[in-house]
Amino acid sequence: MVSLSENAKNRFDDYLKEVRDSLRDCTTVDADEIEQNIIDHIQNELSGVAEPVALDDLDPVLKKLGSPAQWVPDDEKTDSARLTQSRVLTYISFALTAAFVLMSMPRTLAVLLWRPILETLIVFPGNLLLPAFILARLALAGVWTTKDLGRQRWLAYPPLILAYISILWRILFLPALIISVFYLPRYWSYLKVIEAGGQIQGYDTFAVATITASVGVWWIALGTILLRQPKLLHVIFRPFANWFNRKWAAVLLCIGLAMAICSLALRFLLS
Amino acid sequence: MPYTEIMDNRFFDNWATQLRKGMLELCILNAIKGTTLYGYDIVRKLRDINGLVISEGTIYPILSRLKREGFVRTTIRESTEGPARKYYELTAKGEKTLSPMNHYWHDIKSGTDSLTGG
Repeated sequence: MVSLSENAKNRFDDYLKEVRDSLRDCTTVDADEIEQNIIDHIQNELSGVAEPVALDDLDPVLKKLGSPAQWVPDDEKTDSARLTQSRVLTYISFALTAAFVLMSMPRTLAVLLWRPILETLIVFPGNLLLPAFILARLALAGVWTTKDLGRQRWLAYPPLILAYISILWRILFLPALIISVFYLPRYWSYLKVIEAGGQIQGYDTFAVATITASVGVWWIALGTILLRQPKLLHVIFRPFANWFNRKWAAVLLCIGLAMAICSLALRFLLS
Repeated sequence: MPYTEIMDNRFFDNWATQLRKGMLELCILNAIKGTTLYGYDIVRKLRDINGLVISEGTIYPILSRLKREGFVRTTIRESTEGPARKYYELTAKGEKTLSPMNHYWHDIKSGTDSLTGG
């Protein structure tokens, strides 16, 4: 790649980001391939120009390439009827989320004040989040990019964030949840032994090592799947996971590997 | 009046954009017919056609789309001028499709020529 001045490099990075943002959700084109074509194009256009290439030399080339937003194929642009529907859905979704938050407050207060009677009188609003999330996803499904929604996209984000946090920790710690259920009855019985004055050496460490090992192995599996299909996460956590790529999948895999090795070693030492 | 002078005319602009879209695909396929071309070389070839390429970057998504649809394929070749380059060529499906596209275009062109006296 030709060497660019600081300003030119920043401008080019912004342009490539614009390319990715514009084409990311296009199913009929390969955004990575186009990005590489653009890099090659710049390389060829600027060969022979004095290096580091100044912004004044780069700008005309980018201007001739045009705005990436114009490159989206016509049949992948959001039509106005669907856009209106999606915007209406964001309002409903946001209203449901606001109701969920507002109705959660007195319940949380009741729980904090330990007023079981009051708690039972308040309708549990948890089920409002599910339709809010579904409507937010439907709103996103109606547009090619979230930018099409304009400022209304911010209305769809709160239910998505709440639901995604809930989904994410369940996905990440699924084995821990399953194993905890298996260990809990045994833990209670051991607790009784301890309360009665008995001692069970290293039980907690043993349980934690088992859970950590299982989470580690699970992350290795997740990392391997995501290494092959990083876009899976983009779909599940749309539109917040577009930064995720193979590099991050490898990081997850490595952390999982380290966790599994360390905790299995600890478990072996304790057994 | 040269068309560049009325480029701010919204009607003309929309019409020209629509016309270019279809023409670009036809021209890209014809540009690589019987040869293999580097992506950048396709852009260079097409930008010499007056009025066809307003935004040069448009060509790359079209190439990508044609590849996805199986009309073109790519091969990576080493280059003496830098990193390896991606070359585009027509597939059998592309060649089979291009022929009726050209006939269709010639029919339209001769029809419009007879109307405009061209």
